[in-house]
Amino acid sequence: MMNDRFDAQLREHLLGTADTKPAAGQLDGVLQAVSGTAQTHPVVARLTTFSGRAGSGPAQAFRYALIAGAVIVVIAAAAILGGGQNATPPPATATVEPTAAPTVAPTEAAPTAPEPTVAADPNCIQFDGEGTYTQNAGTLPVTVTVPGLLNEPWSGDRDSFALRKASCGGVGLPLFHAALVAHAPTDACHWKDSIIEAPTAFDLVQQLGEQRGHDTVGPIDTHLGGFRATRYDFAVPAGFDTSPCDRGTDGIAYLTLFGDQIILPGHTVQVYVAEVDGVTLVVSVNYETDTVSPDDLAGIEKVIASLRVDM
Amino acid sequence: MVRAREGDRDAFSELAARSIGRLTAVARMILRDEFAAQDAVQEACIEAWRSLPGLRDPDRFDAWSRRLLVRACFRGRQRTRRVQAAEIQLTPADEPAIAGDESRLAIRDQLERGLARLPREQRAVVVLVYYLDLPLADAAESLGIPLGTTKSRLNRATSALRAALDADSRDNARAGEVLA
Repeated sequence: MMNDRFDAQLREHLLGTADTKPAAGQLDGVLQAVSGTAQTHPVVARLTTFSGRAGSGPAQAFRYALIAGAVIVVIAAAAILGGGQNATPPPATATVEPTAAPTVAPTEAAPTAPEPTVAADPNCIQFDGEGTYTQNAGTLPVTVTVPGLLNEPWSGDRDSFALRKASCGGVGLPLFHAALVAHAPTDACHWKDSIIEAPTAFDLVQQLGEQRGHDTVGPIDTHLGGFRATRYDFAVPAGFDTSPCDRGTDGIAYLTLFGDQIILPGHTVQVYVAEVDGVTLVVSVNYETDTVSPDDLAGIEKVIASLRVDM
Repeated sequence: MVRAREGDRDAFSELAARSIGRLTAVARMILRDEFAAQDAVQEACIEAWRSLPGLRDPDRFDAWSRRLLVRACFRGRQRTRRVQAAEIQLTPADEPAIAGDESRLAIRDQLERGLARLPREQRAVVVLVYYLDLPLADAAESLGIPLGTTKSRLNRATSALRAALDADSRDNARAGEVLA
């Protein structure tokens, strides 16, 4: 057994024992789950989310969504039957704690009841008013306050920390991510062959400061969730041709994990790096450089300032 | 793929039907648990549907879906831990002594036990490189880890596998002597 044939034997074994037959009803189950899921807008989909969550699977999330959706519908129906007065916010899931009032506060003159917050996508939590969004960044539960802006819903993912100013399934920036990071490319354009380990937050800060492929502002000393942090602003000029890069026209990847963190031409990303309990927490905010409004920038500051890590 | 990317659910159903067998086989090998594997495949398919509009190059679909699957497999942490705990109860003494003509069966048996003992992260590299025959760079991309880490992980996996098989061989030989 312990000879030169080991590789061939291992390969032969895996090929010979692979069970490529789906279980009975498995495909139907998958398609049924997919049928309850909305596709993400192309721009949002291209800004691939981080992973790192240790949590429940889709089946469980789907069940929670169904339960939450049913409760929301009942509450909305009650609000309609009650004349639309004093509608209450949708009930929280395990990770959502709405802190304020109804998604749309009806007035005496309001002709219709508030639109219920029912997300077609079970992976999505929609905020139609101020609330708190909690998701794990790796092993760290990260919480932020979602700005309460009338007519401008926000939404967050359930399976990783990703929060954006858009309704579920919609497109919108700014887009926040939080994740634990242990490596980064030295070249955001040619990232595939340039990823190196960053064992500590200090290492990551150094590597990001030297990363090629984008304009860099920083490092800036700051705080994140009460921890000392370093901030960089990365930007790619509008019209910059990223087609020779590893991701082609999908932009450049300044961080990689199971999903890549990318910057599109014309976009800026604020990157915050902090050491939290011996691991490196990275929070990023992605927005379009030329179109970001002062209100959005103020909102970004508020979200970052509200961030806390529950340990 | 293009039609599915544009929201055609029937087209996605065809894609899913074509790839579900291969994805399930990989998940089964990595997780070594049927239900966890099915969960991982379902999670990967849902994520594929959601994010498909962001995939510009149809030629990358296989690599991309593989990456989603590996990611989903790693999320099934708790379930897999339970399975590993159950697998640890297996000892060489529970296995029959093997000799002579049964050597092929012995190799298969030893490889299965060796693979079961590997940490899931190492087993994933083995599956990608030895089963899917991926170049190391592509395996690294699927795993979302640096190439160097992939190489060292594979090296550790094959070393552990060889060592485990070697130990099994010695134990079986010893058991055979006792029975004789």
